[in-house]
Amino acid sequence: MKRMLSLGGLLLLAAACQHSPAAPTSVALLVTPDTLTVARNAASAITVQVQRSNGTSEDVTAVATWTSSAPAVVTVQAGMVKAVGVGTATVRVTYNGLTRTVDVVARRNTRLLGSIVVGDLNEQYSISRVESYLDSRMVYAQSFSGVRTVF
Amino acid sequence: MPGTSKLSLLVQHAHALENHYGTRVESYVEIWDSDTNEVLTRLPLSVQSVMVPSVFGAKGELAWTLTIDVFH
Repeated sequence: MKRMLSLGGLLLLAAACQHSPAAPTSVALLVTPDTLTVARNAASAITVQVQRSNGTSEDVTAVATWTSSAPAVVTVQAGMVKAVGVGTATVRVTYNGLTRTVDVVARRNTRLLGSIVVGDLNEQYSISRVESYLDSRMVYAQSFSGVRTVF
Repeated sequence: MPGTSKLSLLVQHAHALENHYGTRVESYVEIWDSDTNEVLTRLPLSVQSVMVPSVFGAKGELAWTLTIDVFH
């Protein structure tokens, strides 16, 4: 009797296993964006989604493992990329044995300065006023003859 | 701001002249690193000129745009 019960238990277990769906596996990681340019001292976010074998996807940005190939240039934590230097780095994200990389450029913050001297080509200074604009922003306005604009 | 910049000039002249106005050779543009406050490069500007049309009166106004084709 005991042997029959054990056999019945095994059959039930086998039947249960036959009809339970297999746990979905992680099949791919999708990172957004796949390249990134960040100004020094600025930060930008990368998100990662895992695509599963059952067709579903899930945002795993917060739980994935993130590393930077050049921590002196770019740091990364939970997908948040911060440029701490200038140069290039590769950010690597790993989740469930899957890995994707993102190329990151950390660039300088720059500004233009300069000087433009304006006049007539015969050295006959006859300019009474000059206004100069850098990218539509007025950077200089002055009235005198022999004009130098500094921006 | 990084990118290609445009410099525009509006010049008012006090006399009627049939002449060319232009930028002088000592004109330049510098690209500065905003964070470290150091000069990264200094570029001369090529001389650009405009002709004053003869229809201009004793006083007039010239407007021209110098395209500073510097990506920074």
